[in-house]
Amino acid sequence: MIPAVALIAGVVLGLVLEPQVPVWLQPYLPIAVVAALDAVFGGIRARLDGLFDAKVFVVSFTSNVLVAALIVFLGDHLGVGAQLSTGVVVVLGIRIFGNAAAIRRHLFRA
Amino acid sequence: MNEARGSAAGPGGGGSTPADDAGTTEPEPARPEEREAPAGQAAEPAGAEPAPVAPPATAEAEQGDKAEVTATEDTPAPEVKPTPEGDGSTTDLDETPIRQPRSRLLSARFWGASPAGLLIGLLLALLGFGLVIQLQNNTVTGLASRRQDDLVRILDDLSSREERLRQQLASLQAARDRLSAGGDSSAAALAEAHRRSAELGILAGTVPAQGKGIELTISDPGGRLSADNLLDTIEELRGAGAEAIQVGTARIGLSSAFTQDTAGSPIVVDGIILSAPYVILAIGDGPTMATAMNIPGGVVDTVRQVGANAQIRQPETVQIRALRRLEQPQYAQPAPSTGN
Repeated sequence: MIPAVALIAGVVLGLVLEPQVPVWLQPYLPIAVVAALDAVFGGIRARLDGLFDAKVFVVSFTSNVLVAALIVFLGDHLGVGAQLSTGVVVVLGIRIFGNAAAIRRHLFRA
Repeated sequence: MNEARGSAAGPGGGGSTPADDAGTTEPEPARPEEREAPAGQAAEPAGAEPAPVAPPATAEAEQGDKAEVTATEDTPAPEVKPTPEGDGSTTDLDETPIRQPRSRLLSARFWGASPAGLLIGLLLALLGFGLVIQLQNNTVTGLASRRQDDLVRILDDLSSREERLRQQLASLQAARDRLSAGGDSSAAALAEAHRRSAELGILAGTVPAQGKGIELTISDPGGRLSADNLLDTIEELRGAGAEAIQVGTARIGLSSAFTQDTAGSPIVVDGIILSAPYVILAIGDGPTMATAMNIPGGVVDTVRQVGANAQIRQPETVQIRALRRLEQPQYAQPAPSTGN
C-alpha cells in the first residue's frame, strides 16, 4: 500500500511543484524513468510470483536507474547517445512488456 | 540494519543474488523460504518488534486460528534468529501481542511500514515525481529538452530546408521577373504589331486614312476621258508621294486596275463603275502633288487637252473612307528573312 501511496504522492508533488529539470539531468531523466518503470514492473511481477525481495527491489531499482543513466552518459560522450538511448529504451521496453505479460497472466489467468 | 542482514544472509542472500531487478529468474524451489526471508528482513530492522514475533504468534496459534497456524509453520527460521537481537526490547512483549500478528501479516505481505518498505515508497515517489516532471518538461519545452546530437541534426535539417527554400525563392523570383518582362515585351510587340498593321493597312487600303493631301476633281462633260488618263493620274500621284488614294468610291491599292470596254464607255476601277466628275483623293504632301499635277504635260495639262477640266484643292485634312478587301495570296508564301 505504501508504494502505491508514495507513487501517487510523488505524482501529486510533481504536478504541484512543477519543477524545472536541471539541464545536466535532462538527457538522463527519461531513460532513468523508463529504467525505474522496468524495475517496478519487475517488482510487481516478483510479488505476484511470491518472489519479492525488498532488498533486491531497492538494489535493482537504483542500479537500473544508475546503469541506464551511465549508458546514456557514455553514449553521449562516445557520440552515439541517441542510438544508445534508443537501444536502452528498446531493451527496457521489451522487459516491461515481458513483465506486464507475466503480471497479466497472474491477474487474469490469461 | 546491516547486522540484521548479516544474520539473514542465509535465507535472504540466496534469493537476492539470482533475482535481478525483474525478480523473475529466481529458482522455483527456493520460493517458500524466500517469501518469509524478506519478511523477516523487513521486520527485523524495525527494532524490537520482530523479536517477540514468535511467542505471540504461537500464542495466537494456540487460540485455534488456523491461518496463524500455517504461518507459524514457516516461521521457525526467522523465529530463531531475531530472538538474540531482540533481548533489549523484551518490555514490548506485553503490549504488542495484538499488534504483532498484524505487523507480521503485513510484513508477510512484504508491504509494511518497515525501513525497506519506506525505502521502496521513497523510490516509487521519486519515480512518480520524475515521471511527471519529465512528462511536463517534455510537453512544455520543445527544443530545450533535446540532446545535443538531436539539436545538431535539427539544425542541419533546418539549414538544408532553408537552402532549399532559398533556391525555390530564387527560381520563383526569376520566373516572376521573366514573366513580367515578357509581359512588357509582348505588350510592346503587340503595340508595334498594331502600328505596323495600321501602316500596312493604309498601304494596302484595308483601313481608313486621313491626313494632309489634295482633292483632284476632274469634270468630264464630254465623256472623253479614258482609263489611261486616270491611270496616268494615279501614277503621277504615286510618283509625287501619295500614300493613300481614293478614286470615286474605290480605294486604290496594289492590284487596282482601270478598265474600259470601249472609248466612251464608263471607266471601271476594281469592278466599281466610275462616273464624272471623277473625284480623286490623295493623302501625302499636298504642294508636291499639286505641283506634280500642274507641270506642263502633266495630268492637268493632258486632261485639258482631252476636253475635260481638272481642279485641285488642298484641304486641311483629306478623309479616305473607302476600303479594299484584302485577298489572300494564293502562291506567294512568306519566306524567312535573310537578315541585313
